[in-house]
Amino acid sequence: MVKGLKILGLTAIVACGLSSQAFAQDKGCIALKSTAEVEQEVVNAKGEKSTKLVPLTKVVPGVEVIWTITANNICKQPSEKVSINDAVPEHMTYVANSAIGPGADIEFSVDGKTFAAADQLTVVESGASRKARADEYTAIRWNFKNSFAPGAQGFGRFRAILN
Amino acid sequence: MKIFKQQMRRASLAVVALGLIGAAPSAFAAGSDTNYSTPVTNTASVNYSVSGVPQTVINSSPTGNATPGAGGGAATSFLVDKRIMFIAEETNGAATVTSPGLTQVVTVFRVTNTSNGAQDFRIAADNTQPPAIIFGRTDSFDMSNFTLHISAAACSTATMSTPTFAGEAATTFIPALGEDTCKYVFVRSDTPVSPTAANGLASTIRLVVSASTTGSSGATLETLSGAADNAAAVDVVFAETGVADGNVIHNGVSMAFDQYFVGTLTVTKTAAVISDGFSVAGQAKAIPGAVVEYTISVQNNGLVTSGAALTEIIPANTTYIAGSTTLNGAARADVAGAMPFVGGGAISSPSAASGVINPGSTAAEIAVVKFRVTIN
Repeated sequence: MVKGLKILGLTAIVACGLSSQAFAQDKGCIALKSTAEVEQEVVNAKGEKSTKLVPLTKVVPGVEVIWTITANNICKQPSEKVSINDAVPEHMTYVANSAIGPGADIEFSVDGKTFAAADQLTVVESGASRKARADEYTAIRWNFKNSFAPGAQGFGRFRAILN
Repeated sequence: MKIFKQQMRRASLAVVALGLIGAAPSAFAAGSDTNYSTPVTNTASVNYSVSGVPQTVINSSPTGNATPGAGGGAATSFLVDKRIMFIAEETNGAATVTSPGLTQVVTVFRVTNTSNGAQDFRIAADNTQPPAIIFGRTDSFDMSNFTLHISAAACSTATMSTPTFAGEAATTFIPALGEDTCKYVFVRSDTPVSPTAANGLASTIRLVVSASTTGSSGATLETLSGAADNAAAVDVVFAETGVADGNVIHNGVSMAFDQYFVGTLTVTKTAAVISDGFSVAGQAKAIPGAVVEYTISVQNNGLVTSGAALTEIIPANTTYIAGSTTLNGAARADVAGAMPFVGGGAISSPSAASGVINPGSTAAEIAVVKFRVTIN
């Protein structure tokens, strides 16, 4: 249904029963996936503790959710200048120092427009400029330094707590 | 082994809970919790180039989307689940005084909802006992005919008070109690007659508050959802704490206890020989012809009385001394030439209206009748 909507000018005559696949625009070169998970502690037979990511359990205020954005190059050519943007979801607060992204420079924003590295991002408060706090971040950007070869995959990840 | 595992699990749960509180105190601040059934959505996007040519932005989807453009992709979302937290509390830390046979005696509780959103509750009261003695007394008898009423009085979660019952209708549930708000609940019940309810005995009662589903009028209780999250449904997590008096944590039920305490009149009668015609003062003996003074003290351990009356019998082998009767130190005239309480007469606390004995153990409350006889 979402795919059907974007066929400009055809939207009005697309019958619901038709397969949206038939109208799908050509694929791009990157398949982008957003996943929400939580961390669960597991204890092995030796009693050693470790954590793993599991599908969401109950999400109530105070629960930390781990968002993972995966970009997968599905073309036969390399993808260059790959840059993933993601907003910290509404009702959630970014957890300081939680953003990771192998091979990527990570930037943050407090307004969704101006992005800068964590130590360079500032906000103006009462006329004075100060360093932005992590809980003020509203968006995150991962700028991958290297091209994605065909079939290659990269990801960005961050943690946010439900308010 | 099983017990060991449970303990381990409890210990790790406690650590997790502490960790959460430490990491995000603001998340637990009053009123700031994200309400249950709020959707949380996330759509990431990617910009990239191929052979130096910038490509159309691609939005994410939960399963992976490669269709470019603003219409491609879909949000990864979940609904905020319901964290049910609440507590039932007794309001004044003291027993409610009752009397044998007294009906619809009111005790007061407070129910506070700290869930992430409005919550319905079933309320019920009974005689089931907590494991501990409360207010220093054990439970000796059962109350009956419990009814519950939600107070119309304003309720503050910060300051406990004990409002007065004002004729509120009986009910069995609290509908849609708002987040971080409270209601006072009156429990009314009937006191059994004497001697089941006797002076100094107490009856402990229980208020049971259970989280119930919205709109079910308390009929359907909330149930803990299964292990996995259903991102499209509001799951239920029980997070209420219960540490004392048989409360169990995280079971969706909070119990509070109160007590009815029976206070009645205590009547004490003493006799003292005033004079025997021979001995020196203070050493008079109870010999024929001696004057004996009887003192009857009536102390109220319960509720203020009305119509309190004393009936006295002149002891055998004695003769009433005409005009010797006093009530609280004031002369009480004989009736038809006889001791005035022989036929029954009203008594009262000093300075109180006829028949009224105020609760208390001081001279200002105790009614005292004195009269004298001579030994035949």
